[in-house]
Amino acid sequence: MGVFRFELKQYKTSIIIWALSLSLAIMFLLPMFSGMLTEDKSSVVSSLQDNPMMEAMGISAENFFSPLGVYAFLSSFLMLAASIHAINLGLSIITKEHMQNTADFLMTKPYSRKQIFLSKMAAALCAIFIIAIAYCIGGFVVMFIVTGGGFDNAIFALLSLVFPLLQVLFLLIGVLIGVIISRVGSTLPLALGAAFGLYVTGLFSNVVNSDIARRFSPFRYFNSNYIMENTQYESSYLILYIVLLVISIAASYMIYMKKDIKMVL
Amino acid sequence: MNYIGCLKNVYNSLKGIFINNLKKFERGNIIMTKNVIEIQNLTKQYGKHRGIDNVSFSVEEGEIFGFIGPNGAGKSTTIRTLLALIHPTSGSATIFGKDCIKEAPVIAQDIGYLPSETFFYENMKVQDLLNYAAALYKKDCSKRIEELTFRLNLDVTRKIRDLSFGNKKKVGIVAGLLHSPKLLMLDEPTSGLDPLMQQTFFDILREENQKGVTILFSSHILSEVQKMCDRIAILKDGKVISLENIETMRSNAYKKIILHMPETTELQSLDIREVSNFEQNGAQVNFLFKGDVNMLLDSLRQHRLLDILIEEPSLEEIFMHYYK
Repeated sequence: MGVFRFELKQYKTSIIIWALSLSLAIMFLLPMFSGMLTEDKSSVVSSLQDNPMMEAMGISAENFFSPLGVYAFLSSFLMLAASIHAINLGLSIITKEHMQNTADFLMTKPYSRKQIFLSKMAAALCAIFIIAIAYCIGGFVVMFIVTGGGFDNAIFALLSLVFPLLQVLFLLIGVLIGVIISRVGSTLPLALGAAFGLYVTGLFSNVVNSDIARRFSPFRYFNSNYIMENTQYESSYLILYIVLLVISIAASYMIYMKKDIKMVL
Repeated sequence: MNYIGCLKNVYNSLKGIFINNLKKFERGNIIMTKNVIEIQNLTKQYGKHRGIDNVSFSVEEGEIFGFIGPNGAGKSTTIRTLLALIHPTSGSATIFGKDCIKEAPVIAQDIGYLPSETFFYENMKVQDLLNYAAALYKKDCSKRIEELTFRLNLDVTRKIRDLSFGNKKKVGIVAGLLHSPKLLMLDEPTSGLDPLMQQTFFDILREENQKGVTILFSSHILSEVQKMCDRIAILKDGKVISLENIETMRSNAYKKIILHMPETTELQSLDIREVSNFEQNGAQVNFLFKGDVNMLLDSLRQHRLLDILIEEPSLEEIFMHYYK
């Protein structure tokens, strides 16, 4: 049993709970929201047209009243929960060795830091993907049931892919914070703070319509209106996403390789 | 044909020379790597705090090397640098002839480390943890684990969380020894063990040493170092202040001298440079002496004495002298 398997085993229960609860959430919420769709929607659409709430959520009223629109809207909400999990996972997988003082145990074994770092990353990504896959399957099944298969598969795939893409970025943000601070008393409050902070920045960017603010919130990198209208991601934000991804993994790796393991006190 | 034969001869003789030299080179290497640990000018600074400063010494193969000093002298820092847990500011160290930072994972295969305070994954069972440790060494250590846990009287079915400090230490001992390392690094290994367990632990260490295992043993308890070690390095404020063979250290150096005077005559510190730790309690005078005994006797002749006692000082007293 190497580090990879050991880490996955440690997170086993949490992975199962998150995968189940997120996929069940989309499966129960989507039919509830799409129940509104059967009524004559033109009046609702016009009444919601200039609603600041919709603006803040970054979704147009027309798009909202389609099954894919509801899926995108719910995904953006559930993404908040998934991002908290991803940041927390990234933070804890790095800092727990320091907090439990098990770094001494692990780092004196014939495993290089590079191997340990990569094994931990691989385990965390694996956990993330299991949850994302469960979520997307849940989404697909419920979309199929609600629409009877009449939805655009390409748009659905693009909307669903946003989920793991953002999870990975949040995971790496967590890892980066973890390697810098390394002795975090409790990871959850920090993860909650970071996720909510970025989320609120995203809401704010929609309200004031500011591209600068939008750049600071990964939640807004993959705009669902744009995806539903163009069947693709906005290339400038996709590039920004990739740059952030590369920077955070490279910086985490370099810091992790050089970091001194503090004396147990 | 003749030319080819000639060339073959030349080739063979060249090959012979090459192989012979290679063998010599290998033999030379064996002599060179007799030192298991070689530390050269190792320095580690933590911001303003001084960690260790220019520490240099070497540990020979098969010896038990003591590493002694009070808390904060830099014992753990040195050991942790050797294990590549922290990176030195300057200087270098080799273990088995390999750079201890660059080749840490290779070296780690043959090192057993017992930290001063042992910490493990709290929610694991002892058995699972030991198996995980063995898996990290990619070795089947089940027999060794069984043997060691039996000797140390350790219950492997319990969770780490439920263990006492001493029992956690035992888990640390087993985890450090299970892969039969060639070099043991022990950082204050006896804290938390009861005297009986300490005895068992020392027995295990001696057996390992007889098998040829080199041991680096850090401690602030002199009696255990005195019992176990062949040579010691004394650390103070991050510097090695003395490096001595434990026998020569005890015999050659200091004598402890106790004088009993007839009345409380004020005997000011004897006017000899070689006297140290001078102490007068009424009629009794204690001090340590290192140097020519005749000089001491000459100077004592000027005083009237009831009794004189000359004995070997304990390591503690020598030690206190280094720390003055």
